[in-house]
Amino acid sequence: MTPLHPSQVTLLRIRFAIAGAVLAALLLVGELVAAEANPLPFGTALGAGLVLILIGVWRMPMRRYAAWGYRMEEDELAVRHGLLVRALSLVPFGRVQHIDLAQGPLERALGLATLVLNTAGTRGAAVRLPGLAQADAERIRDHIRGKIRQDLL
Amino acid sequence: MSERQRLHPAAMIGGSLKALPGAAAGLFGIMTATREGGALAAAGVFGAIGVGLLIMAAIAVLSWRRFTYELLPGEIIIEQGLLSRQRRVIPFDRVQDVAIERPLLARLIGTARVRIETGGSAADEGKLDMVSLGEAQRLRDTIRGREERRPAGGRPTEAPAEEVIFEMAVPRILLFGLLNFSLLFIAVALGALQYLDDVGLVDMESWADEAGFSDEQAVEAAAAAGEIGFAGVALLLALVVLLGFVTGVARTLARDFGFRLTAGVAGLRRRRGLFTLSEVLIPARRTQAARLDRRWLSGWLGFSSLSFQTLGADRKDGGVQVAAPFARAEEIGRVLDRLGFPRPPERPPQRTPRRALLRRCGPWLAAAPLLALLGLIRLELTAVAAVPVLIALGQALAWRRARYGLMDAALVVRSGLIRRRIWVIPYDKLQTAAVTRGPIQRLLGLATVAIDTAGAPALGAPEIPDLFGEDAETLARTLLDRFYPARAARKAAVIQESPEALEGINLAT
Repeated sequence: MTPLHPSQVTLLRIRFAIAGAVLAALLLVGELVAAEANPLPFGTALGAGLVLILIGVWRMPMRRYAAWGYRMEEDELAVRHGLLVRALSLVPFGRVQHIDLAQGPLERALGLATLVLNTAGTRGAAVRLPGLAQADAERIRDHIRGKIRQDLL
Repeated sequence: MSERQRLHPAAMIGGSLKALPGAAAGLFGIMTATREGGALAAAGVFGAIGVGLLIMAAIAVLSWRRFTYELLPGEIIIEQGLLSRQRRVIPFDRVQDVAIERPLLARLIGTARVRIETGGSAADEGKLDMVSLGEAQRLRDTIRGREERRPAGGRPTEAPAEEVIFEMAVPRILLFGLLNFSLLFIAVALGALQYLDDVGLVDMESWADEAGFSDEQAVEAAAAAGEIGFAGVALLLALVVLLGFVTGVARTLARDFGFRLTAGVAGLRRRRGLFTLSEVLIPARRTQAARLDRRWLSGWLGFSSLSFQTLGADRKDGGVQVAAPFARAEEIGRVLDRLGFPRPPERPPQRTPRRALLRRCGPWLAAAPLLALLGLIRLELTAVAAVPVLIALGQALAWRRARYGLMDAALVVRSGLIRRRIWVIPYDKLQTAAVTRGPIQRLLGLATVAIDTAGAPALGAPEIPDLFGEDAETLARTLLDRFYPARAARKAAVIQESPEALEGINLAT
């Protein structure tokens, strides 16, 4: 299976860091507000929280990144994803109704893109594949588009 | 033909009539509230109500005038809206189904409601409520015309002669209704009675009186068996059960009276209903999967129900349409044949490995002793531990039910405990396949194969749980390998049948 672009780890790390900063801020506010009711010395909870957050920001993005993978075949795309529930989705190109190429501001800055294959199904209706280099994503999209056109003729 | 049309004038009244019960209740409330206000207050209230009614009537008339539809070659345009105008164009190509419904009121005045369904997400995408019956049939024939390709000589207002492939006579419907009694209803009714008794609104003892028990007997019984009395309870139970049966039969009769499934060029057409007549088309080409359900009591008598999953995401039941709600195996087989579905075996050849039992029952059995520890707090609480044990037992039975088979043209998946369900999914209807592994499954080396089809219900879509990881991946692979040639063959057949259909082939069909 092809792994995602390494920049995806950076992207995930930034996202985790933002969430971690919010969490840390909340902890700080909590410490300041409840300083008197708190039997522990000031900063204990905050410090412990910060350690956990730092570990999370360091470790989780790598684990998340490692869970993803994809394999392009002639007529289908296989996408592996998920940490707790691991899933492998097989999408035949003939079933793709439309393709989205999405880029958030962070993704744009890192030159990444998310490919979304939409089918007419229910559960697997939208198969997402994030963390592709933009050029790769466009190449895959064009390949699939060609396949769909062929399928129609 | 291509000129703007309005709905039947009765549509103006239709909406108001539906609002009537609520309005009457409101009026009653106001009247009781102003009873002490004297004549002047009453006059004021009635004046206000009169003005309100006038405004409502004006709105009804105006919206009726503003609602127009226009049949053009190849599309229908519906314009509506009082303040903001809305113009909707529905190309016939996109129409999944034209359903004609006739509620009681509509039947009395000879009108019908036409629903044009396109498989989009919005409900009421094209609802014409109401038009005259003749107009409804004309609309249906015109919109469906492309698909049906009726002979030119046919009379326009009548549906072409179709072969009846399944119907239910009244005795069958009554039996269906009897077996269809709602346990839920009984539970709710009992709960409600209990509540009313607690509040003191219903005196359960007096029920016994009315049923012919003398006061002394009732008092004796009450004294003998606590508060309500044994006879009272028995009587009540009998009454509730009877009521459950009666409502079951009445509901079934109202819904399924005159049930008739006919086969036409485009697919199957279902007509049913006692008060509200409904007509639904199950389009052959858009049928994605078949579902056979067998419940314990009716199944034991040899009856099951057959539904088809179609591409109608705009339906509340997730695009699953009943084709034969209470039918014998042979009758179901005939309907399946008609739509080109293979008849599934009662017992598909493959079962899931024994290790699946560990995944299904293991966690529950592990929870049981933990719950039994509650007995340390109070001895009676030990009984709570029986719940996970029962669930584990149910899961073990469900494991025996879970089977699947790769037939020549379709995948067959069997599941269920009280209700045995068999899915028949032709290989060419597959959308995606997925292999998933939850935490416990990973521990045991198991995996689930989920099959996604168009219009599949969000809950209860077919899947084969707990195969060995490698087998699951092989199965998903096999499904795709069978999908490609099957789809190519289906497409070739469609194109051969009608070359002009080429441009209209929906990717999902």
